[in-house]
Amino acid sequence: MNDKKLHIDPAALFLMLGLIGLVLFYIWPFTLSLWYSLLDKPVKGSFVGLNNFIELFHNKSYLMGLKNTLLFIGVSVPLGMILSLLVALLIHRVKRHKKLFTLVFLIPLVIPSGSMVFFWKALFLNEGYVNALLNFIGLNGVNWLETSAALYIILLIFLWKNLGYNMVLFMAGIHNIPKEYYEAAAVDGANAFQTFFRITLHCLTPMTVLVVIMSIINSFKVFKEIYLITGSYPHESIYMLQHFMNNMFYSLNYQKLTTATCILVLIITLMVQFLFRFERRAVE
Amino acid sequence: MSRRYADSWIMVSLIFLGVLFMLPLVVTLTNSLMPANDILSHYTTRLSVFDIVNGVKERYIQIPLIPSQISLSQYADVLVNQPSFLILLTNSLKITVPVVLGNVIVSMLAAYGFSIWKWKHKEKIFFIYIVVMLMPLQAVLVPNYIVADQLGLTTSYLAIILPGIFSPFGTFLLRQNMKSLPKEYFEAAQVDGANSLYMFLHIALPQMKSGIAALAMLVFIEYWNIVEQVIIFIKEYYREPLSVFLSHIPSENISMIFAASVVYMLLPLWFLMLGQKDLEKGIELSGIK
Amino acid sequence: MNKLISMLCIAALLLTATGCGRTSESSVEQLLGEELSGEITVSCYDTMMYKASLDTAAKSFEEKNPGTKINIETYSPMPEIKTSESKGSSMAVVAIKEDSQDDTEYISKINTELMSGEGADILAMDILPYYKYADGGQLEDLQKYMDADDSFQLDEYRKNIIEALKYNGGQYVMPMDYIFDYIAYDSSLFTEDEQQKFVNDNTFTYDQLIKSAEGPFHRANAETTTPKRMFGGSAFSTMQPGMFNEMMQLDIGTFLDMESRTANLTDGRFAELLESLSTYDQNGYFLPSTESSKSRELSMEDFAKQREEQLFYKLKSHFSLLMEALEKGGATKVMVSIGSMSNGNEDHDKTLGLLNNENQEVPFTYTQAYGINANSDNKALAWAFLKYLMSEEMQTSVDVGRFGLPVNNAARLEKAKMDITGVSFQKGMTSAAKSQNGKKDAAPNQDKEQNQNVESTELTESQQAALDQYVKTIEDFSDLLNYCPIQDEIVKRMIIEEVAYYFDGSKNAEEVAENLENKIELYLNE
Repeated sequence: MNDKKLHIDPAALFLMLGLIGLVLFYIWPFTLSLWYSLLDKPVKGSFVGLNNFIELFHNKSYLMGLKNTLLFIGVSVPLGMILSLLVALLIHRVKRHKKLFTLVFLIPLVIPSGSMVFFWKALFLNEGYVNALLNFIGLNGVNWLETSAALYIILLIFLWKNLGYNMVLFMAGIHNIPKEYYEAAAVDGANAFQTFFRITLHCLTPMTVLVVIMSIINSFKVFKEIYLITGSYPHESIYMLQHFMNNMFYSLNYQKLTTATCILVLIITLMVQFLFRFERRAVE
Repeated sequence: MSRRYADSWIMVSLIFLGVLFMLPLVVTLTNSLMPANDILSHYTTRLSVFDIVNGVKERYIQIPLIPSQISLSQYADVLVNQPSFLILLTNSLKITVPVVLGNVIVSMLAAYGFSIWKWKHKEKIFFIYIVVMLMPLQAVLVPNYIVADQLGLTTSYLAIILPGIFSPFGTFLLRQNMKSLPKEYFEAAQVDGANSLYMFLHIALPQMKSGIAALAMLVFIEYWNIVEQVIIFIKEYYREPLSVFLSHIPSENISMIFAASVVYMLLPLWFLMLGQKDLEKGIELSGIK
Repeated sequence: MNKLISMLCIAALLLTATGCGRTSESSVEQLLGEELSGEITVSCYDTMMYKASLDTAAKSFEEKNPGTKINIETYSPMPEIKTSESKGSSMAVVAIKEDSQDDTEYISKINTELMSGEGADILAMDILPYYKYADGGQLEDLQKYMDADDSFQLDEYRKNIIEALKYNGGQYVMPMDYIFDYIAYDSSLFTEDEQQKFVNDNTFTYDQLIKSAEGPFHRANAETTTPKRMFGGSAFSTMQPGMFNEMMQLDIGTFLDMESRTANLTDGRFAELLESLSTYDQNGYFLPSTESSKSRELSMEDFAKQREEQLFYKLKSHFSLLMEALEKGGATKVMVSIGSMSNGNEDHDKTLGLLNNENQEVPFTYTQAYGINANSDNKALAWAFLKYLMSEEMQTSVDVGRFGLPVNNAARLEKAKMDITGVSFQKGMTSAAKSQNGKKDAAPNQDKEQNQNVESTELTESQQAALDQYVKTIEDFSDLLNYCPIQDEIVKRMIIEEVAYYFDGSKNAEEVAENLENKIELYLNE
């Protein structure tokens, strides 16, 4: 077992830099914020137990942000997955220009949000292009960004931007499904729907966990667009947890901020654990 | 017969979707070639004297697909007449380049470390990586701010760069990539008496090229596109990167906004053209179980 | 994973145990008994209102109390004063750079300092949302000091002004002065009978004003081609919110409750306000919005043109009362009236009274008010300096509070006298000239008036009469004031942005009200 010692040490060495950084810049301050969330004020504060948590759960703005964020994840992640799977299947079936099509759907991924803000605004402002078109065909315009329609706009931007990533993942998944499965299905006389659900979807299940994880990450990132287009206080239907935290950051309200962070860590930990359990079951 | 019918339907729907997806990019490109007056007349909603005379009550924004006149004056404006634009572009580079380099190096090492580590609890450590990775930026910003405060860096680019370097996404992506490497490679090398550094440099790295390229690209895009950290840490307008600047460009300067946007997205677009294959492969391999 | 969590909990508990042993705070009585020494910092944003007066006050306070030091921190740059000249007369235009970026930067700087337990000992409450700090426990409740300090007698000050600034039962901010607007009407546009109806009252709601003027309005506009408006503002414009802003500010307390953090805009009254504004606008009661959206810097011609327009009502600053008194006392007219809506011909103006809302709230505001940082190390000195700023000596000093009415009763009378005799103007001019480093032509109000050299403080008969009348009007009006709305820049901006959708026709009043209520509550509850 002399051998083993030789292997552990270099591995730890390789890991060292990354781990130290992670602890220093993420884990340690997270612990610190857990500590802050238990005090009544950051300076000379005294211990108040779970008071901040209770207070936060009575805070209307926080609840609104939490609700909207969860709702957005709940809608955008499945919708994004379905659409990207659809596009992946289409590209998989197409015979020519596969690379070009992939490129087209990947491009939104690399376009900086800042470059597109003006375009989105020009489209969806009250005097924007979309309303001009609606007006032209005789319909009344909608103030897209200042009514509850804002949620659809954000959903649209999210799909536009993030479809490519999941699509590439699904394409790889579809590509790796052995051809024999389909041949066997054809022999059994299965129709297209059966083939899709029994084989394609079934073989892609292990991959969905990763797709979900990436989609959640990206759904958090759509805040960038919301913020750049509508500012700190948008219409309440798109007021996300990130708005709350961002605004708390401006007023430097450490208590609410750290408490909100702790709750988020908890939610995400549970979510990841659930996903992994789901994955394990799917593999079995 | 029906097969061919279906194929053409697929083609049509893909082209339709593709055009829809490319529309924002195309509009930005074509409008960047419009002369300033055209942009102003198309994109302002304020009524002019002529409108009032003509009895126009409301004015809508018009987005023309093809400019009636083509001029490069907007680009000249952005690149030559507006020194601030170039300053902001350099600011973007100053933040992005160190983060990309640092994060790629740290992630390569850590990902390799993870795959050769034989401790039975390593998956639990990896679990922490995934949880941190999933955190929205706002949640990470608090810890970032606390550390920056303790290090006295709250107004420095380092407050953005350092957490960026150690961000766990890279480690995750590369580790997933590394899982695709056949174990036999390492075993064979070990039999030959190679140490782990040798294996890292000569086996892991060459095999991970696509993954590394994909990571570099994704991190580059992420930090080229940086918004949240900047609004927290950077107070002076001349130290902002372009991403933030473009969103609050003053209304008298909107004529140059498309040209500025195009210049701003050229670099990431160019990277995508160069490395589309690597990006795809890198993303694909991250899905490996 | 569970092990990790339980370990964190234990760590947290251990840390708690160490955090508890703190010394209890010394009581206010003890604080007041202490000898004054050490150093404090006063922080303020609006340089024009504060810097000069605070510097003077700090210097003389340090002289009186050896061993103390008062530092003044300011943030905003001095405003530019431009003079435009035409036909021998000159007009000073104060160009205040309005930059919301600067505001937010200052607020976030103060936030950072307060949150980390630092920050200036005394904070000038000009643009800071003090209600948030009061709720967060970052401001000292001055009521304790006022009660415990025998040398502070509330009767010596304008009690109604000080108490109107109470928030949630605590006195977190202390005003140094107050300003208010009053209504004047053009007597040439009303008949004797119509004017008689005004006499019985001294407070009016906008509804009352508009109703009383409807008859005269139609009569006057039937005769001439140049329209005569009721008010000198437009219904709404994003640059100068005009009548909407005036009416909204008056009723803000019924719409927003900062103490309970609720907005109450959807019960129909807000929508009603918006709709009635549109109706009034259509009736031609206000200036058309295109005319008033000109740039802020007026040319002399514009100015002269505006001066000729006849308006039914004007909103004038209390300062205009002084101008009138000066005129009666025999001085030549120095300058035109100031106030939020005071443009127009003034030849037949008569003072009417004050605006109030349906809850009998009569609003005023302040130019200077201060709060003490709850984390200050030297609260005794901070309180002493605050008291000094409120003393008769400081409040009559021309360098301190040149514009507002002093809260100190004795000082207010004394200052009125100085104003009427012209002493304060003369002193003010010399000090302004000094501070301008001898740049003579840059000083405002360069007029013959200043050369008259009023040296004696003896009053002529007409001056005495003018003074008596002036003091009576001011005191009568001041007695009515009872309400100082809390200012919050973010809420203000939200209101203007959202209401703009109503006036450009893209949303109806109910939609605006609902959206605005949600947004403001979102912000207030964060």
